[in-house]
Amino acid sequence: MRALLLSMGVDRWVLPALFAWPIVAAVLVRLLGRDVSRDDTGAEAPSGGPDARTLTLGALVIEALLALALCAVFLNGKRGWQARFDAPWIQDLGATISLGVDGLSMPLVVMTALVLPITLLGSWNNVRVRTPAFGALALLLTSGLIGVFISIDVLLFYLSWELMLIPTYLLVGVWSTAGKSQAALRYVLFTVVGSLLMLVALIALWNKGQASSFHYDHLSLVLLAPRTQLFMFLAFFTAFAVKSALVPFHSWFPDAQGAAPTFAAVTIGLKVGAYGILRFALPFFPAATAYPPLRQTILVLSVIAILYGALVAMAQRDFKRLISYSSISHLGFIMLGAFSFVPQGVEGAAMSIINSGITTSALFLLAGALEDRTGTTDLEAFGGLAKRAPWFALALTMSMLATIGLPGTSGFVGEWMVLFGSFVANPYFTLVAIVGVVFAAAYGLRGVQYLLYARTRDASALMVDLGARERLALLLLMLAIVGLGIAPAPVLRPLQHGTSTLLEAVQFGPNAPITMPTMSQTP
Amino acid sequence: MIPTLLPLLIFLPLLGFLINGAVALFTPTDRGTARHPLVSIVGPGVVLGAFAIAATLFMRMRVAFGAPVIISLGDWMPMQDVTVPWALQLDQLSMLMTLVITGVGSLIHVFSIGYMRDDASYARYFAYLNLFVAFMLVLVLGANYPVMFLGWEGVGLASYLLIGFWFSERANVEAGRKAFIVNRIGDAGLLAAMYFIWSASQHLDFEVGNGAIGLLIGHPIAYVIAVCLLLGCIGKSAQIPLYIWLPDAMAGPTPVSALIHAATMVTAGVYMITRASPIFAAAPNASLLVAAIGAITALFAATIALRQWDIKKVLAYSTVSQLGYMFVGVGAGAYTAGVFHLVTHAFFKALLFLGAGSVIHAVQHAYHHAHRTDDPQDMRNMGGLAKHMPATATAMTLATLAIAGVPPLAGFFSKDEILSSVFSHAGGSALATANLFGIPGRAVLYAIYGMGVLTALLTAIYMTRLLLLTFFGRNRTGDDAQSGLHEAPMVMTAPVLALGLLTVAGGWLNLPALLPWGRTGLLEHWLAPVVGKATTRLAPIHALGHQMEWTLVAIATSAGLIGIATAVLLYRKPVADAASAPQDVSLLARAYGVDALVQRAIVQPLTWVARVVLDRGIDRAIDKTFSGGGWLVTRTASLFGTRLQDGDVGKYAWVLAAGAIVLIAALTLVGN
Repeated sequence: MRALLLSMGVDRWVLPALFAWPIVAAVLVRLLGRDVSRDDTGAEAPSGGPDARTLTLGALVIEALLALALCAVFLNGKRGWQARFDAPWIQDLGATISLGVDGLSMPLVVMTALVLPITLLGSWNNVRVRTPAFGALALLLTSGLIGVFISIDVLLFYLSWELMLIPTYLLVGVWSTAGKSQAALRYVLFTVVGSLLMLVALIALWNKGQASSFHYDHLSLVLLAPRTQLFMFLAFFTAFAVKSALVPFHSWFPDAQGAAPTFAAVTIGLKVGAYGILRFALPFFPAATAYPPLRQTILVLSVIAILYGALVAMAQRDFKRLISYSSISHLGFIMLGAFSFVPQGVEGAAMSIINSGITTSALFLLAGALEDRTGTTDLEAFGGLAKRAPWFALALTMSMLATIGLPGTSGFVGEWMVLFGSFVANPYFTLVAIVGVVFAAAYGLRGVQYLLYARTRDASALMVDLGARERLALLLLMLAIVGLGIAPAPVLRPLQHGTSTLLEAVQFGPNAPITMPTMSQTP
Repeated sequence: MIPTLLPLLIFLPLLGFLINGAVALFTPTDRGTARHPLVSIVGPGVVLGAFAIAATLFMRMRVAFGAPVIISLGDWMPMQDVTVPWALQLDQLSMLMTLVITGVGSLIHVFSIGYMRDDASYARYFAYLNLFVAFMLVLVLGANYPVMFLGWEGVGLASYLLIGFWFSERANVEAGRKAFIVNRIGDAGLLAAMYFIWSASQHLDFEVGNGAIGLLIGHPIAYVIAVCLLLGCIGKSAQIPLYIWLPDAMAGPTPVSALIHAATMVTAGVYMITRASPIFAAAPNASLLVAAIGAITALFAATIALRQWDIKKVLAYSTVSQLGYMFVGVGAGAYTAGVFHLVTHAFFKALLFLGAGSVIHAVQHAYHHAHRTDDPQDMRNMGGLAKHMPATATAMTLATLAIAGVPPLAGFFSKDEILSSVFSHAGGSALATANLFGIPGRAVLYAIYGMGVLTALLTAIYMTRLLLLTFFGRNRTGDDAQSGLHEAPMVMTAPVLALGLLTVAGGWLNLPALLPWGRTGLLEHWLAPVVGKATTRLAPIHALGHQMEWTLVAIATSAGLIGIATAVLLYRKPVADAASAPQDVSLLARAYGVDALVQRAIVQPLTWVARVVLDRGIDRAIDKTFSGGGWLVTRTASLFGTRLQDGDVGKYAWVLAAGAIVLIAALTLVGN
């Protein structure tokens, strides 16, 4: 298989294709796609052409196949960037179109490219108006998301980062639940402030590196004084922390996710910010990350995020907000693992990003299904759905179990590794974080109980079980949850190499602090 | 052969789960799956198959008696230089547990065919029950802590699903949720224990990891690990203070109570301590703590059982109490005795629950026919059932005598062995010289012995009370309903009678050396490769003379007999039926009000903090701060903006220049 793909030169063109295809497809969908809502109402004659949603799904499936091809040509043991692509871009600035993946980004690309079509399939009837525009924006957003993972030119990364922003803004603003479009604006304001800080730091960093190149490998070798690192780290960190909704920068997150159409809610929930921290903030500024007061602060924030997110999730009446806060709690685990600087912890953090993508998608598909049918996601309006909608009940139970980290689901693997690594580095923080496991059970089962069990309430009567498309989408996600829970090795193997390279940069890079925190296990 | 049979043992019930689950999912809800023939075959069939495999393995092990067989089915979590494999371990302990789980499990599955046949969710029931067996087997067969933890949390999930099986009743679901969350507190301890074990030994498997920590005798880390493990065991085995979920768990169907909440899952804590016996042996103080918690729980729960009216509640508190006995056994270094009691208890308690199930079934049917909605589980609505259901009554009488410790039934031997071990270890052992929070071990052990004897007395009282209220005296079911009372069908009585046989013969597994006949100490001999070392470390010599041993036997037996006699005297007088009796608000009937206390002292404050302080307070405040700050910034900016954009090109140029200077300054100054 690999030989066949290599003979087609896949490793040379797959990354630019992954990046550019959604943009091309976006244009095609906008031009050729037909708006279903118009011929439903009959107000306007059918504009001809295939259904825009089908086109979008087709484009996303092609994107997913490209990602699988990337996965097939990827070599686990090889160090450095793979499937590299370089083309000139802005020569005056030294910016190039450089794409490449390593063990850290490849699994994330594949996860994203697989989750997106599944999400679209599962939320088929979530968006029924202006579907060509919706499809085009969704595809642009996809390009941005993939670009963030595969860009190894930092300016290109920044561009992709911003490319995620605008489509998301429009998706939330235009297709949001009535009266909630304000959330879109808040999302943009929060993210823009963060990313502007990052831009300033990026330009400064570029300046320090003789203003000659924006390439990742170049910038990561720029020598920086510890104090400079600290400022730049804070700028990068703020951007990423806001984007991934670290407490206390999280308040936009539940609102935006609650208002967004399902597809956008899932993409907002993807922990791109956490990837940014692993990819850029840690290896670029290792001395800053090892600076004890800063590191302690971040660890404290992580532990707070775990407990705070879980407790606030316990108090939510709205199912979507419950999911959002559980996601905030999970981010705490990811940060705890990332800042342990222990291989298992960092690897667990990356694994948790993947798990979070899958479970968020499943849970928002279910929340969307609920909202589309009954018009509400208020937990107290439901009850007894297990009887009316057994497929819905099964999918909800399983994704919630993954969310609370039951062994045998993908949620456990990442969480267990995070705590494992974190315990080696900071046993006391970890012992406190473990308490979060109890609260997770509390909020997770509360959600399950209010929706599925006890007596049927008013809104439950409107509930119809999942349709064929939704069943297929959720079945795929369930398979991923159980599959990765039982045999996570295919994902962990590449991550293992990716994280060890990353930690080497943190330990032995030119900016590494002279005295590193203890890397070895305590006896 | 073992490498193929061992995974098959787990996959069979898993397959049953998938098949029954598919039947449940693909049958339209309005039709239901009651008496579904495929389910009736597959559900119990897979567990019987697993039992057959377990028996085969046992026969083989008896011939080739040796070191544990560890097989690896591949990597689970490869993480850098650490790899957690899917490894299973077959040794004398896991073999014994497997036989109990699949053996008693098979009987209970068969019983369920009769008990659940009219339930619309018949297939879902068997799916969950099969799933439970699969996870339970993973729990006892896992060769390292993470794999065991998968089974550990998996049985918790199955328990959650089965407690809330009849989910239309809110109370049932709440009970399931409570069980899961309380168990998770224990699981958090277990997680911490795993990480401590790793950092102390660089291993996560039982053989090497436990062995390595077993060498750290008296080291604080051994104590910390043991206490963390103990927290997990307390949760799963319903000991003080985490016992509160088990009485509520009776909301599930009665066969579930028999299998999960009496015979198997709740004994996982005892299994775990036995499995980790090297660690506990290295930390005698922690072992004392185990025994003390066990003794206090045993006595505490026994007192509550004295005044319960719900037949299942009596049995639930009785289970908590008997689990306390097992903790006393394994805590006092008598690992074989603890496991022995685990096995005999599995027999007679499963019998008691199944018998209670038959009784409830009969009373429910009777009420159903008479169109009444009285509580079929309240013993005040029973009485005199012996003449309606003779087989069940006989079997339950046997089991009652067994749990009361009347020789020569199973419970007598196991209970006596625990008590005499405690007494002899108090005389001289590593435990006697250890201390529990400063109290010398010797005193603690003698106190535990005393509490054990007292518990035996109380056990005899409350169990005889249960028997008398249910089967003897005047019938209180009501005249109209009485005609509907019948013995359970064959498919239900047969498993009960089979368990009755085991209850009588179970004691032969490990006859005391005191007896002049039979092969003594079979179980002791069998388990020696697993727990022998730890046992000798904690208590090197068995120092009691024959005379002393006979005295102890006499004390234990007379405690049981006196209890029975007391109960007969106390509960001979007729009781009012549930409808006419005033609500029992005594402290014991309310189980000391612990539930209300937990609700008021922990649950409500936590919910309040989450809802009011965090969600409405801090979260809104953070939100306001950011929005307010943002509003301020934008207002200021727009103010400047309108002033600036007045068409004065000169001003534009100045602003441009100033901006450039600031930017350049920022870029060059930062960090220099």
